[in-house]
Amino acid sequence: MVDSACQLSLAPVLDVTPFGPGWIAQMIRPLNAPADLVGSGTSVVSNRSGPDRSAVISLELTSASVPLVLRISAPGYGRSVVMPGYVVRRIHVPVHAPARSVTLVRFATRSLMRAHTAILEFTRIDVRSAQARRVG
Amino acid sequence: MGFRTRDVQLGAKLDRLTSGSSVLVEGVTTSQAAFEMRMAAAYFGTHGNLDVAGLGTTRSYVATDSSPLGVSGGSLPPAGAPAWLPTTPWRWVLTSGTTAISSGREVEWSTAHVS
Repeated sequence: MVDSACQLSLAPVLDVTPFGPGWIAQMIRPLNAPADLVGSGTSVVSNRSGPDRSAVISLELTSASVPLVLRISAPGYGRSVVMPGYVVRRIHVPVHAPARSVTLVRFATRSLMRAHTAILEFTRIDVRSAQARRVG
Repeated sequence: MGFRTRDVQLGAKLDRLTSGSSVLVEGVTTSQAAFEMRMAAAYFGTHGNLDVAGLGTTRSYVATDSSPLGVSGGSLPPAGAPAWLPTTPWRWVLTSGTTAISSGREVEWSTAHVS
């Protein structure tokens, strides 16, 4: 985890970034989760290498308010996870990442308590190749 | 008003990247530092002929929302709109503030944290 005013990094061959209005601005919860999601959001998986890649996104996340259902969707993949409040879960999402392109993984949350907003805290978002192959 | 020192430093780093390189500007932080980073990335990225993506991820830069500098620019899509979605893989990442991403990025350069 990094905290700096501005940082330039070389991205790995496989990288991931959150995208969409569902990701809450960090200034609301500056000392808490580095990536909070309300409603729905997307993670964009980047594969800048030549060959297609079988990747795995590893997530560490917690429902920060009420029990919720998390729906995860990616090309050829769909899964719903019931998450009790304040319990850390680790979820692995297999992703097919075509060569030199981006792939979208979508998250949608639904509160299991009426009139209560579901907030999902992501404390870790990591993508790795599922293949033990070197990349040039 | 000219560029801040760290803007100039960032511009110098971006100038050294290969023309056409893809740079992802990441994060939803709405801090002043994040706004300045996005503005500098847009300027120097254009100057260096870089492919800069992600500028519209956050409300801090997109002009249809209130920005820290009070800038308004009307015709841009709102923050997080599909038009801002990165569509090509990126080689470089610019971040500001904390991040949950831990996929093995190699830090090339950073400014000191400014409160």
